[in-house]
Amino acid sequence: MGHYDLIIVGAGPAGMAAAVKAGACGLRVLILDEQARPGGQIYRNVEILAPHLRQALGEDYSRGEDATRALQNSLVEYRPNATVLHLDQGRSIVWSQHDGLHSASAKRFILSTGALERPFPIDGWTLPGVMTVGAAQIALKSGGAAADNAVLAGSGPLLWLVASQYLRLGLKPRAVLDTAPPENYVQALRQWRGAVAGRELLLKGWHLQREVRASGTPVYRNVSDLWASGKRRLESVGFRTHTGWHRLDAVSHLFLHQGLVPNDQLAAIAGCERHWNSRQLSWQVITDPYGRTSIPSIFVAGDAMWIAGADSAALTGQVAAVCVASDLGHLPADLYALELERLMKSVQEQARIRAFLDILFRPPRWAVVPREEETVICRCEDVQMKHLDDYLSAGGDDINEFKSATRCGMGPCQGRLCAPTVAAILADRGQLPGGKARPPRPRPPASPVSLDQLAALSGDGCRQ
Amino acid sequence: MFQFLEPHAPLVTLKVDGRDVQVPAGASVALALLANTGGPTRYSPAAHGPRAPFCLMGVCHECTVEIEGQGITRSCLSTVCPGMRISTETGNGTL
Repeated sequence: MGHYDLIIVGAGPAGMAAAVKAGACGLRVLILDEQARPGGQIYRNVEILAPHLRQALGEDYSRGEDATRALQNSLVEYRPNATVLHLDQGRSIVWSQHDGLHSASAKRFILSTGALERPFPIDGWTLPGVMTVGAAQIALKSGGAAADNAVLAGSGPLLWLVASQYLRLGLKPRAVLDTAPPENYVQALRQWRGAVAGRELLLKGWHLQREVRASGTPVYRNVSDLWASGKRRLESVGFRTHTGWHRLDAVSHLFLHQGLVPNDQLAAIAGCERHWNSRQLSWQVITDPYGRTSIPSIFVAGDAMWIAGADSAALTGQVAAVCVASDLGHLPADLYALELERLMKSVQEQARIRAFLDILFRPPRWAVVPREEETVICRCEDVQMKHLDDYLSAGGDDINEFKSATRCGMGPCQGRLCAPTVAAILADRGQLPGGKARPPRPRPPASPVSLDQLAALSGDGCRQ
Repeated sequence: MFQFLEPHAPLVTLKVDGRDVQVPAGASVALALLANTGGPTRYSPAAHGPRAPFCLMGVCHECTVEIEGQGITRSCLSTVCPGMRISTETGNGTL
């Protein structure tokens, strides 16, 4: 079994920054990542993407190359195509690669596992042809592929970014459906300091929206309901605005987006405690200001800690690395204090901007608590809204009990796509935070593993 | 259906459910499925609902297929290789 000072999971902005920082402090570092190349989701394939695609994706994307280069040039050990299965007792980690299972131990861990899109459970969202806006962007980055005549629906910066990226590539979306309710703008004004601090970001967003509108793409505002229908795949989309119901037929792709939630599955499996963040409407790992979790040897950083974007992720990755270096005696106390102060000042400024954005892009209630009884809330096991309604009406209040009774959260995604919905519904009914609504406790393996791979794992039979 | 935007990219030929499919080198297997058939590639176990790749980032597990030599795996995390043989749940079991 290999031994390291620090093992980092996830080579996105936070993980890369943490690895480079920790390496520079003289630590022995291993960084594992599930994808074939570093960059996480936001900088996916930045090392190899064709120039015309890179140009359409914009310069925020290209900046990621500085980070990937820094990682590749550093002395840290970087392993791609590695899917982590378990982090045991804050001490040892098991992962799978094409050639089988591997294990290693470390004194400290940083889980920079990023974010995933908040589920947007609408009627018909499980149909082939309905995907996330993030998936549309991944298709561009990982194969130069795009869907013609696509409808994009939801709210948040990514929605407008991908719509404009499509336009730059010569593809006009069929329609953009903006679900941001007008009251968000009013409430966001109270956080005007955050708006001022984030004016550059807001200006960028405003330009993107203008680019989309100027292209002649139909944009519908204040969308207050949405459904998808079809027999074997998506065929039609219906939505409501202040002028009434509209229907689009012959739609081949619907891309949904309602912001991001932390991908803290591994942290949960490792035993880190979580609580409900009612501002970001997601489960959140409980940490000290620097990312240390309830398990002292485990830190989280980046979007896995709380959704704050790529620039903040690079900072919080460094914060965690600096804490680890100090923990392990690789950073003298005065230097540690200086570094931490410098980094935390920038982290706090990013947080102010984020407070504003969280309110501006808060999903409307209907996008998070399904109105229709038949709407699927657990995709893996086909558990519907009505099953949860029945459970709650009978006096149920325990997420884990509901999981045992219906298998909601027991499928291959292990609750990644239903836990936020179930929790949001309970929060809507005033049963969160507090009460018996503990976050669901996913079990290892963090991803499916084959029996023959497991069988090869006996005693110290893991490959190094 | 998804279309590939680069007309001059080198193509890779693979078999999906026994049929030849051509996709640009470097694309994920999930994209090969999305560009090949617009229809379902699997069914949900409980309600037998038609499904296809949803998130393309390894989270949803809807893109699961059998890849010869790799077993049952998330196709969004696999890059296409020449001669690769893929079997989806909606195919007839041919690799």
